[in-house]
Amino acid sequence: MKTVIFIIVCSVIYQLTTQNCEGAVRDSARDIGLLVRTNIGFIMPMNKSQTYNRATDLMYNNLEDYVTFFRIFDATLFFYKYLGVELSWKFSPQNGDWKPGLDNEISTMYPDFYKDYPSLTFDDMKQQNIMFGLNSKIKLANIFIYPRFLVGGTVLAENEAAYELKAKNSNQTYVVSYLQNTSNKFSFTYNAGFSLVYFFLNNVGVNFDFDYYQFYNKMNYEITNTNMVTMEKTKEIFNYSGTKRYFSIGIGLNYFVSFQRSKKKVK
Amino acid sequence: MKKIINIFAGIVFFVLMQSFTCEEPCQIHEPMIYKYIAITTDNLDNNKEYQIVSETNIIYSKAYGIRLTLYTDIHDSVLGYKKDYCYDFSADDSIRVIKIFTLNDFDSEHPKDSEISEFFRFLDYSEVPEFASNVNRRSVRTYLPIKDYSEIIKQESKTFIRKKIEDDFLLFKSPQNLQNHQFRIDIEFYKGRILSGTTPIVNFIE
Repeated sequence: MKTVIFIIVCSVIYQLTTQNCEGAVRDSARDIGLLVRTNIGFIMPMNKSQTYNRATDLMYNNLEDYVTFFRIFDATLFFYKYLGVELSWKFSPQNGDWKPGLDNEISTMYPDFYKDYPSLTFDDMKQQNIMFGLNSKIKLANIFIYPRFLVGGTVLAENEAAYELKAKNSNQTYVVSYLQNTSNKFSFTYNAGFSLVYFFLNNVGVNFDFDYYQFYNKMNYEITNTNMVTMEKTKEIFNYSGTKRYFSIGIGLNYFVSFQRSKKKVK
Repeated sequence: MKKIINIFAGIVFFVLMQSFTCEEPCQIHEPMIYKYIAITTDNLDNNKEYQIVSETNIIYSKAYGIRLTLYTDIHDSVLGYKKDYCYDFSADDSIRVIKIFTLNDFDSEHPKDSEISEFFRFLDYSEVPEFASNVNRRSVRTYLPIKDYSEIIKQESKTFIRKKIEDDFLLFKSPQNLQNHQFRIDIEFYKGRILSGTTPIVNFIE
């Protein structure tokens, strides 16, 4: 890994310090074509939802914590010199940190009960973004800047749980369930951002991504406590609806597939 | 030649698939008739996570239950799920009703020999309805009125048969006097037969 980083850094320094006459050819070759990129980074929430229920806060805020993302697929088709359309898929894996926290919380809330889990829902993906929109290009010295504006959807994971609580020294049992109630699983999302790309090889570059995401998520947690003997239920609702804002930073690689081969041959 | 090999390979594949997927058809037998021959009753202690048969018979009044064990005369070799056999199982007589009596004064309204079935519930297990679509779901304790027991055991015996059937009945009302209690379970069958069992003496604690 160190060797790869060393080669990339050396290559970047070499390219930056060398006036290469072939540069112009390569720049024009990157006008029209397909820009494919992949990267990894961090998503940082700019606002966090909170109610006064610690159990649901743990389950929901886990979706909003600082998290690693992976942009596995991103392709921009530059059909004009300075304009292209981009399609992007980005996801963040979920680590399940909320589960032991919720477990402790239940133990604190119900000290006179034995607890068991009849059900636990846990999605592997914490958050996914599927975006589509416009991308443009600005060349600044040896650096390319790709500003973009995309729209699409955000899908948040479903974290749900149910506990069976058996009273100590008693036949009484309860089931407490924490159900996520989402009216729109796919939240309409805006994304504005830009990438700084430096091509250290002919078609291969390193990118630094800066993105802002905004979406409205309508969601609440419904806590139902069922007395399993009488089947009486009590319900509480904790609302987490609101506008969510995220900032993300990423680093990765770009690859440009040029559609201007004929020009190169003429040159 | 290549065509012949392909056809031959196809036949071999088909035969192999058949041998893996086809079940031997059942030969029809006479239904296997079994009989409930005896019952025993024990005091259950449910003060911990799961109920167990009490060894001391000193039990929290709110964590008391009775374990009913029904014995059938079915042969050991055919125990298990009905679908595993070609036999059809059938009880010679079905349970009509189950009743629980107190053999001591329970409270002012329920003196010695009163029926107190209403204070007990049959312990069953079922899935949490809210999570019916969840693949990780597991069953939780549910408590059914005793009057439903005869129907449940009838349904169960259609798919599963055992030599020894254990079921638990939990008490949801504490007696006024905590000392020296005994309970009797009567199982009445449609043909008029009654099987009875009496629990060991239990001393309740608050």
